[in-house]
Amino acid sequence: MTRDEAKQTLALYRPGTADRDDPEFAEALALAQRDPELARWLADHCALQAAIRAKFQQIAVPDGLKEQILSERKARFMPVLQRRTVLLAAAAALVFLALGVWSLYQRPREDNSFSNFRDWMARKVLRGYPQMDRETNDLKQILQYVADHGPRGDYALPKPLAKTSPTGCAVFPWHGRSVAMVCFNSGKMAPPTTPDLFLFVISRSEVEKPPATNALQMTRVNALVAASWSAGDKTYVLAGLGDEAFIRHYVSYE
Amino acid sequence: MSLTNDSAGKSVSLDFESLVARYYRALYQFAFSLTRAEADACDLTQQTFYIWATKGHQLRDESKVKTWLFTTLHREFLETRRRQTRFPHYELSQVAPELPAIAPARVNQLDSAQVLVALGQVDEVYQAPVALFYLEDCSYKEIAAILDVPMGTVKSRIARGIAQLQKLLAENGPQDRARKERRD
Repeated sequence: MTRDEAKQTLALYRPGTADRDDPEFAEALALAQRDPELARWLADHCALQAAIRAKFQQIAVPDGLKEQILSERKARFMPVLQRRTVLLAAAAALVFLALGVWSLYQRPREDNSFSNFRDWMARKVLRGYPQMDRETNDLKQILQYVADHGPRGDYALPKPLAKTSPTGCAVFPWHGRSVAMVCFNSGKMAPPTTPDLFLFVISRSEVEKPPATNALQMTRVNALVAASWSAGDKTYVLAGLGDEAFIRHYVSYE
Repeated sequence: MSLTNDSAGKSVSLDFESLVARYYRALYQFAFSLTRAEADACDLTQQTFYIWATKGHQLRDESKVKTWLFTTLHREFLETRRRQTRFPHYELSQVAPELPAIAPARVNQLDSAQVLVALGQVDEVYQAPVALFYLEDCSYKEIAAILDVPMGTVKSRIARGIAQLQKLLAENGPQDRARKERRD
């Protein structure tokens, strides 16, 4: 290595850094120890580099920058660990979602048959006094209410039932379908304001295998007797205490 | 919190606060030497740590955290400058070993702002290598990685850059030169 080659190499030499361990620099530094002129050049060079380096090191960092970075991060970022936790939680949620969807498909399909509808309504009466949305003995108001809030269209009540004293009505869902309930007091089985006849109405198209038009079905569901029929676009179930003859009396269209 | 070793073999914590505490000064000084504007340098430094917070976990070799941070800051700087031109590639052998004569005492009379003004007058392609050369104890290998250029290119750019810088400082000072340029 010549003196000029050494100068060219040492031009990039930074005193006080790991540069001295670089074999190329080490060779040039060794030459400088043997060459007084090169040694003088190197001393000047190192002093100049140290002076310039000091100027760069003196660049003032604004007060609060560190705190600003940390506070920004708290406001905007999640730590890596937390992000991983969130990702794991999201993955777990996806697994549960997939399991949920899978179990949904594995679950037996909802039984939308008419018989299930009838039995469910009868058991509703047996479970307790049904909650009513409206309590009134004005049948016109009741029919208006259920037509507005329950299954749409006309309600065709058998004449004997239409002449019976109503007590109120309600609209509620069954398997996502709207059901209207109209309550009556026959005056024979319960105190005057207590319903003892319960008429459930659903759109005929929303139950499977509904009774045929004008084909009355009489069924006992535990302590209740249920009369079922279809008329127009509706299917009706009248449930009440008493025997079959008692219920049948209220559902004659003749 | 995980620990790793940086290129100098020092133990480095990858905890966000520890990384900020360790590198924010050097990153800011590098950013300021590139932009010469406090607000821009703060933004670049913050943006660098923001990117670390969002993508740092992708870094497989944890010993390269320092290089990663400086590389990210430099890329962000280039992005903000929307530089499209590729830098010319000089090999070290092409660089003349002519360094202007300047006394350290002359440099000591200047403040860091004046030195940075001079750096701003150096060809743009040399500014980042020169800043890294003076600022942080980055090895040439690290500087090459940060700037994503070959080692020979880094050395040639540094050599040319410090030659230009020293020439500027050896003249009547960067401000005088700027005044002269305005007159011309």
